[in-house]
Parts: sequence; C-alpha cells; structure tokens
Amino acid sequence: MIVLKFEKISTAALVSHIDNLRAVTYALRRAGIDVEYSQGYNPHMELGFSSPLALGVESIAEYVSLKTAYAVDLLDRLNAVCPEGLSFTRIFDVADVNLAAVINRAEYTVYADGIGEVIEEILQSNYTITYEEKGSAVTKDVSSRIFGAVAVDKDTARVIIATGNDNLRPDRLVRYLMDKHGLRSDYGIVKTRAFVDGLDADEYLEKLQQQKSI
Amino acid sequence: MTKLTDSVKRPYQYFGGEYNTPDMDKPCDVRFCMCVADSYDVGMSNLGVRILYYLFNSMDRVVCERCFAPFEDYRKYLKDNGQLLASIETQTPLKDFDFIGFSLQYEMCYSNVFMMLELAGIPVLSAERGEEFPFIAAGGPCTVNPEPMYKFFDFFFVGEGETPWKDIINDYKNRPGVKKSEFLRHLDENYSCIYVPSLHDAVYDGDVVKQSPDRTVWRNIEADLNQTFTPTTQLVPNMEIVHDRAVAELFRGCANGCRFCQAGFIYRPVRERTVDNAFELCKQLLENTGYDELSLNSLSTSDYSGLMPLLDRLLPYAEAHHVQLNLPSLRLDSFKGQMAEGNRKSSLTFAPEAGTQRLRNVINKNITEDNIFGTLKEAFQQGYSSVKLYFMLGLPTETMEDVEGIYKLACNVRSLYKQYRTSPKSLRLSVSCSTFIPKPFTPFQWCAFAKREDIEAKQRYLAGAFKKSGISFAYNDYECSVLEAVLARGGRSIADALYEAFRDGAEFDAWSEYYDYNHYAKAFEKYGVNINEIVGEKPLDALLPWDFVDMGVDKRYFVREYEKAMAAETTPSCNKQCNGCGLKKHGYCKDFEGNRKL
Repeated sequence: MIVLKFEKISTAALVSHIDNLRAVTYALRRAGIDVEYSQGYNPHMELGFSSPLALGVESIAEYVSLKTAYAVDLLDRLNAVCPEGLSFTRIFDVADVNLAAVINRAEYTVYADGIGEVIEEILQSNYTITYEEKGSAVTKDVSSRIFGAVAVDKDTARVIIATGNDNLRPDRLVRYLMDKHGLRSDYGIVKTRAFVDGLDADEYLEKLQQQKSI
Repeated sequence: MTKLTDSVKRPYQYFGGEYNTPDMDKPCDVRFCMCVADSYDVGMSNLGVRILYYLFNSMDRVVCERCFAPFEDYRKYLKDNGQLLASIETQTPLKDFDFIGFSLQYEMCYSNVFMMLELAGIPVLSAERGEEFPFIAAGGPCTVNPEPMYKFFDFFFVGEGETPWKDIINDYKNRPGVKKSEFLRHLDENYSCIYVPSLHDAVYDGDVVKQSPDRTVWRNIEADLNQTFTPTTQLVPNMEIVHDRAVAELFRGCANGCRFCQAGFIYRPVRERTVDNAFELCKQLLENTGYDELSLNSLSTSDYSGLMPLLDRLLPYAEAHHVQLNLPSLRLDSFKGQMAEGNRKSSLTFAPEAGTQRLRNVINKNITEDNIFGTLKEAFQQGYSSVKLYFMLGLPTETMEDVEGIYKLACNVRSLYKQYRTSPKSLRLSVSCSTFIPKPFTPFQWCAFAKREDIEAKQRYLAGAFKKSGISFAYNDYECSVLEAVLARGGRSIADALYEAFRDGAEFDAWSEYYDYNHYAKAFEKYGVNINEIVGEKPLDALLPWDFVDMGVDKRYFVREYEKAMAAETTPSCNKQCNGCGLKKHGYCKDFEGNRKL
C-alpha cells in the first residue's frame, strides 16, 4: 500500500471532501497510475483518505492511501496532471494503514486580526464554545478535544485539536472566538500538521515504511 | 477566503481552478467571456460552449473566460463586498471584456441574461451601451428566433460557430480601436449568419408582425465534422456537474424528421465523424480528462452508421481502462440488446412521445408498438427491470383516445414484464408527460399551444389512472410550458415585458423552485402583450416573427410536412430517401444520404 501526502490550497480548498475524492481519482487516472479497483457491481478506485476538511480550510497535511506499486517517479507523474491547488508532496510505502482511524489530531494555523491575543483562553479547563448546527445554537464543552494553543504573533495562532471521530471543527472554534471578542476581519485556516496521538503523521508513516522494509 | 465559504454554497463554482484550464496569462489583444445564463453545473455541461471556449483559447492573442449565473447567496456576497460580476478564471469584471457571448440553450434562461448584465454593471438595453462596454452577443439554438431579445443583444449568431466565430474574432483583432457601430456594420455586411437587430427594423401591429427585418439571416452549417475544430480535452470540474463525464460528439443533425422536434430541423443535415476520428476523439478525451465515464453524443446515437465498428473498438478499451460507456438518446426502433451487453443494467429510457399509432404518425415518430414491445421483451429477458417512458401532451390533433393510449401502453409494458422478466426485482416503470410546445422551424410552427383546461384535464385523467397502478407519473406545470411557448414564438413585441418581468423578480425560470409565472403575467398585462395571439394557431400564409431567419430548410417543406401530419401520413428517415427539405439544393447533403455515405 502507498500513502501519499498532499496539499489542498487556494481554489482546491473550496472543493468538498467528496468532490476532492473525484479530483484525486481523475488525477491518478490521467497520470496512468495503475491503482487497484474494488470488486463488485460498481467498481471504483479504492482510496482511503484522512478525515474530511471543513470547506474553505486549506491544508498542507492531507493523506490518502491506495493500492499500487511503489515507483520513484510517481509523485512527479501525478503532480504534472493536478488541478490548481492540489499537489502531492510525499510518498510512503507501507504494509497497511487506515488513515481515517489512526490520525486523530491536527495542527491548524489561524490567521485573523487579533487572534493571537485571545487564542490561549481555549486552554482553560471546561472550555465551552457555542456554534450553530442545523439552525439551532449548540453549546458544548470541547476542552477534551483541545491539545495545544499558542500565539505566533498578534494576528496568527496555532492550535492542536482533535480530528477524525469526536473532532472539533477548527472553523467553528475560530468563528466562536472571533464573535466572542468582536473580531470582524476575514480569516484563514490552514491545516499544517496531522498527528497520530502525539506523533507527527509523517514520522508515524516513516516508521510503518521501515517496518515494511525489514 | 473563509468568509466566502461561510456564506456561499459551493463557492467553487465561482472560482474555477479546473484541470485543463487554458493559459490565461498569455499576451492577448481580444478578451472574450463566454456566458451561460444558468448555473455552473448546467452551463459547464454544454458541448457548444466547450467547443468555442477551446477554439478561442487556441487562437493567438485571444483569451476566453467563462461566467455563469450566480445564485442569491453569491449575489449578496458580491453586493456586500461592492464587487461586480466577474469571470471565473481571472476574476476580471465582465464589463472589461471585448465580447460577452451568451449561449442561449433554452428560452427560459432569458431573465438570467438580464440578471448577469445588471450584476456586471452593464446596461441591459443595447442602445444604452456606449463604446466603453463590450459587445453583447448571443448564440445557441434560441437565436433561430432572436426577436424577443432584439433590444438586449448587439448581435446574434445563428447556427454552428466554429468557422465564422474564429473569423469574427480575427477581424476584430485586425481592427484595433474600431468603433462598435462600425464593427457591427462590418459583421452585418460580411457574415450571413450574423443578425444586428439595430440595423434592421421590423413593423408590428400589437403582437402581430407586419414587416420582417429587411435581411435574411442564414444559419451557419459546418460542412464536415472531421475537418471542424474539435477540442480533444475538457475542463474537469472539481464539483459534480449535470453531465459529469467525457462527451464525444459522433455526428450533428438527425435523419428522422420527427415533426415536433426543433433540433431535427435546425441542426440538419446529418454530418458524421468517421469511426477512426470518433475513436481517437474518445480516447484522447478520456486520457486528457481522467474521466471514468464516456458519453457518445448526438441527437440519435443509435442511428450512427459506424456504431457497431466503433463499439467493437471502444468496448475493449473501456473495459481495460475502467470506463463506463453511456449511450444516450437511444431510439426505440433501433435499440438492440447487444448494445447494452457488458454495461450495467441500468434503466432503459424510451420516448414513444404519443399513446397511439395514429398520433405517432402525425408527429412522424416512426415507431410501432411491435418495435416497442419487441425491444422491451429482449431487454426484460436480459434482466432489465427499470423503464422510463416519455410522452407529450397537447400534440396537434390529440384526442382523449390518444391520452388513454399512454395509460394502456404503460400497462402493456407492465404485463410484458410479468411475462418475460428474469430479474428478481419488481418493475420500476415511470411515465413522464411534458407539454408540447410548437416551436419555430418545425412543421407545427403554425399550430396552437394547447389550452390550460385541455392540458390540465388530460393530466388529471392520467394522474387518476396511474394512481393505483404502481406506475409513477410525472408531468410539467402548465405555467412553465406556456411561458416557454411565448418566449419561443414571440416577436419584438414581448421584449419590454421580458425585461419588466425580470425587474419584478423573475430569475432562474428553468428552475421550478424559483419560477413564478406571476412576474410575467403582470408584465404582459402592463405592456399589453396578448399571449393568446402569440401561442395561438396561425394561418399557413401568416408572416411569422422568425421568417427572416433561414435554416436552409424550405418553408414549403414545412408546409408539406404540416399537411402530411394533418393527414397522419409519415415521412421516412433521410437514411432511406431524400425527402427534399432543401438542404441538398444548398449543397450540404452532397456526400451523404442521411447517415450513410453514398
């Protein structure tokens, strides 16, 4: 099994998870990469993505697994046929991995006027946020889903929060903070790293790759 | 960026970034914005738009971008941010282009043309647009009757665009600084397929045309599809669109001559791509897009003379590359079970169009019940379990007997399934009845559009009959159809009312959730438009608003076909004999008799 790390930035960040699956499938097909298809009534390329990103959130730390033979030029071939904003940055050759199940934390870098001055409040115990879901306001204690927060400068912050099952959506967190403190600027969120518990997903995959080659 | 995704649904549709986007940064003298007055996912599915988009972008120093009709959330976003409607690719305001070209695919998009121009800060009326504004042009099938929109477009292009559009853009490029009025005169004098309404007056008495514009506008016909510019690539949207697949055009035109079908007359004659050319095109489209689904496109794909040799090459290729083949527009009389083999047993779609043989003869849909049941028997034996049947209500000469025939035919399909089924699934049968609209350039162009009481009584009858049958039944809202009839058949006299309806709130009229006939009812009232005059029956010698546009098909031929229709006589396919529609006289049919090369 191959795991590819990829970026989803600029206009590609406006592409939903399900549409991104199609975009990756078509790119693999254009590159002529021979990926294994599922069996059955409606055969499709078997791709295993890390957890979905919220629409509008950019990322430089997405992962997808597929069954194909490792090739040194695979990244180059793929990147030659990618749409704007989508590009593949690393390749790992592993035995088997369920990315959506193991990747459970992510680091997001947040850009918004004044965000650096308020970000660290989310580290308080019993921290609750309020957001809208299906038309009604929900208030929830999210402290168990927050693992770190640091101000980079006045307008930039980094947070590490839960992804996958029992996740915390970074856009909800940021909107809540901005509303609470009257921050009115446009804002940007970039997923900068993914983690398996405390371990960077890249290092985790490198370990899997070493295990396979032994 | 994030504020945008917080407030706008599917923001991707306004910003592009599709794979296969041409080079937008090349040095350029002419900027063209190709517009479809409908949503991104509808507009992006159009083949004509694709062809011209790649044609323009293939030209030296020419850049072509796109723009589609935005939904309310994005319109609000533009307003809140003080922005004008802009192109997708480079976010250039529409008013900064040299040409804005609208592809008018169906009449119900007219209100969105006004919407887009207004959002772009461009005066809607042609007469109010000075030198600082781009040319606003229209193309596509609706331009066969350009008159309802004559005030809003600077010029109309009638027919197929590949060759003349390229020349027009080159002419413009070679005349730097040319005045708009001067260039419009140049087009009027040098291009027979161009109509500049401001240079040709017409006289109306109320809604009746008394004098046509003093200019014959000829539909442009590309002589040979194998020689015509054909893009071997497609934009690959990052969101799902209506026809989300590779689409290869096998041929233009249709040999069948169904009398209700405007496309059958305004795209004549049949011009086929060779099998080699078609196969190469399919392969390149699939390789260049990465799509895993391919449509063979035409008005009647099963009539393609090279279909079997093409499929012999295409099926193994599709199998090896995980590509699913779609064969649309299969006509009942030529559907062969073998064509579906190897494909998924999805649903079969047939369009008998009318419920009795007599009425099918009137409309020249040359299918018999034997054809229908023979085909379905074979399909059911192969394991098909889902059938869709399309009919029309309000056809000329239609009686209740014909309407009852629809119900009977559907019941017979159900019995046939019981007899020949091999699938364990129960039959899924759906019947869909649209309302017939007599369109320009068909033998029924003089016929009346059916009255509301008449259509609704027939719809009620069928809804009642199908209610307990387990057959699903769908039909069109009368008020949608009547507007389409007015837009298709109207003349200059309805133009002001159309704009008024937009100002009153009409938009996205082709979308039932947005459509409200009241905007039009009020506007027609205000401007004294008599829609009964427009959609009513016309004598055969009446002057029609579109008579100055020439499809290459003789008006006498339409009269002859009308008279045969009234006598329930059929006309054979052009594949079997030349019926003398007039195109041969103009030299367009010389190498072909129907689909088959002589």
